[in-house]
Amino acid sequence: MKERDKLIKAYKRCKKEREEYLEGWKRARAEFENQKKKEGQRMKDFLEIEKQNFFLKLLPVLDNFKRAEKEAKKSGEKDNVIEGFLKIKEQLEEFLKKEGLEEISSVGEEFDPNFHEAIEMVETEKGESGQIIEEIERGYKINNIIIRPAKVKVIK
Amino acid sequence: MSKILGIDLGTTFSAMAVVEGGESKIIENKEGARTTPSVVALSKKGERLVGTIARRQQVTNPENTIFATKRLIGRRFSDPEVQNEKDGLPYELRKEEGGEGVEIKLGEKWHKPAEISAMILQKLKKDAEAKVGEEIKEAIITCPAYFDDAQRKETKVAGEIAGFNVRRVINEPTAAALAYGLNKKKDHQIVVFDFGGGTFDISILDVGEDTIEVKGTNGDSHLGGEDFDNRIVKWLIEEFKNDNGIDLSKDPLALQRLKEEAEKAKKELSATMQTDINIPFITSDETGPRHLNYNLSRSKFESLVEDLVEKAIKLTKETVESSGIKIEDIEEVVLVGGQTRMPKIQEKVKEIFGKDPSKEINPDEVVAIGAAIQGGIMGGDVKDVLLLDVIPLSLGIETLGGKNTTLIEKNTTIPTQKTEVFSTATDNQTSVQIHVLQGERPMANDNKSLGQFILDGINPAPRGVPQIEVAFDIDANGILNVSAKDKSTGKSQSIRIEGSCGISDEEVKRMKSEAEKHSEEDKKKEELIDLRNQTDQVLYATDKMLKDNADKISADEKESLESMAKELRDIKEGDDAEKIKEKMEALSQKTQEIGKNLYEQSQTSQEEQKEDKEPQEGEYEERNDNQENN
Repeated sequence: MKERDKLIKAYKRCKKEREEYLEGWKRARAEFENQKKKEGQRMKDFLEIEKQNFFLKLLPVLDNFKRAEKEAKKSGEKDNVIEGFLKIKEQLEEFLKKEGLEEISSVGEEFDPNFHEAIEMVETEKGESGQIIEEIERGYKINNIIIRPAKVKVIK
Repeated sequence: MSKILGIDLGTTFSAMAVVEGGESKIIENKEGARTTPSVVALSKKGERLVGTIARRQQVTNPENTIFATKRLIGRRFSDPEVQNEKDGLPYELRKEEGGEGVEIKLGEKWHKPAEISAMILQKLKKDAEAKVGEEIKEAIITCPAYFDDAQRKETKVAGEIAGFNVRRVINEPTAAALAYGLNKKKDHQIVVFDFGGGTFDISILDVGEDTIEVKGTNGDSHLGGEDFDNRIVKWLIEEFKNDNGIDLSKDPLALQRLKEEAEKAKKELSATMQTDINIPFITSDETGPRHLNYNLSRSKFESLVEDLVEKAIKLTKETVESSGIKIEDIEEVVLVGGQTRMPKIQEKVKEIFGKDPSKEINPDEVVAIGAAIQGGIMGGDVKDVLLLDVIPLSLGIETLGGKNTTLIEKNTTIPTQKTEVFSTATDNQTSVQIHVLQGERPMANDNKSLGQFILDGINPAPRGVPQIEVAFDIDANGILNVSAKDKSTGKSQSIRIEGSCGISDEEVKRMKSEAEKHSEEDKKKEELIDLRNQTDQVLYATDKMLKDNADKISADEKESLESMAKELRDIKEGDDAEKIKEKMEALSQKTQEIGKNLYEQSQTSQEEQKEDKEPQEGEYEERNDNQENN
């Protein structure tokens, strides 16, 4: 009888261990699967963020084209070379648009920190307080994610 | 079990991390950023804004945009720090009603600094829960080592207001040490050098049995990365004024662009020796638009900020001195804060302590990472039922020319297996020797030999044709099984190596450091071996060409090829890489030339054949007919 009890005890212990190991193994497998899924999502997010970062680094070039355009219009002279440069600007804008970049509207709208970054407050004779009067730098979004807010001047 | 959030509640920025799968990871906020500005605002519409959005509207709403509350938390209104701070702040402060503390005005209401910090923590909590996908009830929050009881208590209260059960408030330098796993090194003295955006802190830690004790701490609460940016801005303004006579410091829009470009230039100079600061259309006068374009070298930048660096270094030396710990007893130096990316600062730190500082973990994130690790330890997340080992050194085999080809990289978690197909090095080779190696050095001889065996009975074939599959398999106990199989005959041979992980820590350390030390010389050796292998290829091709085209190559050419090949064979085993390369290239060019001629010859003969082809075909058909007729 003693022998039998011992065997039963050993069997029970083995069974318990087996369950523990199986459970541990299943958990490890599950964790691995979940980790893989998470990594996949992370990679997707990462690529999206990298794309946004790329645009963010490219945008200053477009900003400067816009500044150049503004100055060229101010001087009012007609010049074929300048015309050509402005065509390059359009080309760049076209490219960014095709890549999904959207402009954020600003002037005339009410200042909203979700889309705009205030650089300066200005006093004016007309217009309401809190309204955007001038845009310093265009803001952009992609898939409704703000890549860069519009930098604006706001009426005091 | 629910997770514990590790939070680095900073003066200008905050970050958060959580332990996931046994590893501490930074969690991005809702906007996708890895850090969140420590700014809270009440918009004109009465909406509460936290983080980036609050900062964007600061200009429109300065009196209701609260920042840097960390400088006020837990302090008395009468403290000189508060009094000094007060006049520079755009928001209002007052003495707490019926108490000694500080109150901040936000909208119509007066808040304690802890309430403002709680608003930041609340956002972090919400964003973290959205990312992790479960409710997070507990947190570890960090604070500077110099925080007193009152400041720590208020930090804890801030966490509680935000809805956390704050398990502990730990020191920022301690968190950084935890991130580097330094809590496991008993009786270690550690220096944490923290140069952030707005503050500089230096701490000396002593790691004991179960505790990490702060032996000394000091700092400058108004010295940080921003000062470095401002020096560049100032320099640009001066240069521009000298060259153009225009003062940009009065133009807020120009200043904004200068600041952005200065920060960008500073960051670039951590990796490059010079950078271009190019700001077209920065301003204009009656003569038209003006552009700013200057080149800033790393050494010029270093001279611009020399006194700032010196200030931090002086404070560091003083702090170490007053802590009573000798410099030579300091075992580790940890870098925290973005400004420590500057090479000059790293160099100076190395100069003081005589050792390379630890900087592998992103210095902007290391504190939050460490806080999460503390959470993991307390939550038991780091306790693994199943302990998985890693192999400390790479495992590989010896290949052509005495090279070490790694199959399993060091730090691979075991059990694991890896298979790779190799081939023979000479024609008609019937056996291969599998020599199992352990170590990081590229030459087989410089690594530890774990064993070897021979696989024979390979069918004679030209070199590179037989496919020998070599498999490495390490089980959970570190027992390595290496087998080699000839894929065409199915013949296989194997060896079992026990204790492939059984190298003492010291030996592993030694082998790793040797590998680093010899990397330059190893590279040369490796290149020489590669060159010899290439030479063998060229010689093999030459021999083959001579054999295959014996009747088509002129005697002259044959003689010159043979003599060149002989010359190359004679010097091949020597160490003069230049000469081997020269002769090899000459021979390679010669064979190419002859090869081209041979090709052209065969082309023309083919073309001739083509021209003859049609009539031949006619003949053939005719004959066919004839045959049928027969």
